[in-house]
Amino acid sequence: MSNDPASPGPKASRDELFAAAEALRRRVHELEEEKRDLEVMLETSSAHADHLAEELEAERNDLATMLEMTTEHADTVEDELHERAAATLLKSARELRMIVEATPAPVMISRLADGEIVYANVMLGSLFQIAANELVGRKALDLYYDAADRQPLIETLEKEKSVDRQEVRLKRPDGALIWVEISLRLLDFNDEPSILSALHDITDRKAAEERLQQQVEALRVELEETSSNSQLARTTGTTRFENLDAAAIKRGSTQLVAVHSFRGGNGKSSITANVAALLAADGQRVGVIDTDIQSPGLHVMLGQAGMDLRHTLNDFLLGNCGIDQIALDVTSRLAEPVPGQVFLIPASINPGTMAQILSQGYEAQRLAQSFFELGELLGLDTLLIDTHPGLNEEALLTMRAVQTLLVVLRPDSQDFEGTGVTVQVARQLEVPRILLVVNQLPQIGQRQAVRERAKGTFNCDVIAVIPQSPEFMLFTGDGPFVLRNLDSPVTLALRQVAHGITSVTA
Amino acid sequence: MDVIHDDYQVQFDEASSTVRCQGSFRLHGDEYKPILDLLINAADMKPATLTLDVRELQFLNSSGINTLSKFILQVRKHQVSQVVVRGSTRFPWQEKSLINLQRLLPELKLAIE
Repeated sequence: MSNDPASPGPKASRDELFAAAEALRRRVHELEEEKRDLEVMLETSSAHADHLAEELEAERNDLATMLEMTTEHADTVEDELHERAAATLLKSARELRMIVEATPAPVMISRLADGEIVYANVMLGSLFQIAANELVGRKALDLYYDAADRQPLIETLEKEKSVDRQEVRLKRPDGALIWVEISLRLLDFNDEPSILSALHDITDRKAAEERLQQQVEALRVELEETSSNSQLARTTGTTRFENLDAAAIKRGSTQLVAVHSFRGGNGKSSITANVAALLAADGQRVGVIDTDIQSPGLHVMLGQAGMDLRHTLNDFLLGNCGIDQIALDVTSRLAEPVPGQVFLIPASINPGTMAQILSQGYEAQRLAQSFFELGELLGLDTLLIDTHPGLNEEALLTMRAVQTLLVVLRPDSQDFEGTGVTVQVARQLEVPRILLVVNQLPQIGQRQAVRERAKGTFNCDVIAVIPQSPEFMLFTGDGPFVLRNLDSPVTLALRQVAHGITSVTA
Repeated sequence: MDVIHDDYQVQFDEASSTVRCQGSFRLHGDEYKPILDLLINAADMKPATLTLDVRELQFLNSSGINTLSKFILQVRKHQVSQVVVRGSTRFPWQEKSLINLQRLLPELKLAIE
């Protein structure tokens, strides 16, 4: 039997049947309401889904637009950068050409791969005595006097990325030899790995060096003969000098230092006088001898301007007085008290005496003799010898006598070239120690670069780089500059010179 | 709030409701976040007129244009501000790329000088 009121049994009363019918009606109504709710829910969900879909579509469209925009922008910027890069490249190539054309040095560019010359400036044409455009298309190798000389340069270039001032022999189309200093750099030219070559014609210098070498050799032979005939150059009194054998001087004896320069006017005498003062300030007994008998000036630096110089080096060289008569104690003229002593051996500024010695000449050996005798006589720690600029006989003779050669140069190409010759000659004369002093450096920031360039060029120690200083050059006060300007950069540099000279005996 | 760097600067002047971009935008990805934050902040202030001044912006990379697009979308979302973008013919990319921002916001006003 069913309990459902809407399903009366077979024996249900009339009331029961009505109740069952009523229950059925309510159920139907409930179901109809549920159906309506579901229909509303379905409609709401559909509407919401449609809305979401629209939003997603909008976002998708935005993203697509952004992607297109970004891509287009990237293309625009890429084009712009490409055009700019191409323009910059073109400009660089134009500028390189302008620089090279305006450079007063022979320059060429050759391809690294096959050595073909792709550019030559007018100066290169002048060097080879043909039109520059006729050099283009030739092989760089064909310009070498000895083809084997090129390969080591290229190997150095590839390894070091640069080659600087290497001496090499080239040849003109007619076969004539040209000596050049060559500097090489790698660069991209017309999108190809290439070599930039800058040349400096040194043919004349090489010829001069060869002539000088012959003269030096002749002088060496002459000196050796003199030395073997007389022990004068080697021995005076109790002091033995063995410089001719390139050996160190015996302990306790005078150190002879020649101060030399290839050209005049570069401050050699000022440096000599001031270094003498610094050495005396350190307690040394210092002699300063002016062997520049053609243009003496050292006495002015040591407070003797306008003074009556009774006996001079000229008198000794002419045999008119003894060595003991020519040294002046100028310590009191230094303006500041110093623990050491400074002796000046001046050259004559008397026109008659100067003319006499220049016309008569003198026995060259007597000059070297004066160095040794002065050292012994005055008990000097150091004798500074101020030489005549250039390479005359006195200069060569002096180099043979000293332990230390101090070469003063300015940082310009003429002095660099001249100093190269001086150093070469000094080495041939077996000077035991060659030191360099660069004077009158215009910009203090370049000090290290100049020092390295000088050291690299001459393979000598650069003991000081002295800055250009109007105060130093025009100093007219009493006594040497260094004793009145203790903190000047010039004084500091000159201290390095004094230290460099004395360090050998330390 | 301003973004100041050696190579680029972004500044928001509230008084004139103007964002000024200068220098070169060559950043990558998240590096743009400080700039985007500044731009979104300006958009969220819902001024009547909002000016984006890029006349001194020399360079803008792809991530940079993407950042500016997000800024425009934020303004569009609020449907309150009129956007004015000021550019310069001195930098060729501006004439070609800025006009594309109107694809995201057709009402955007472009003033190229």
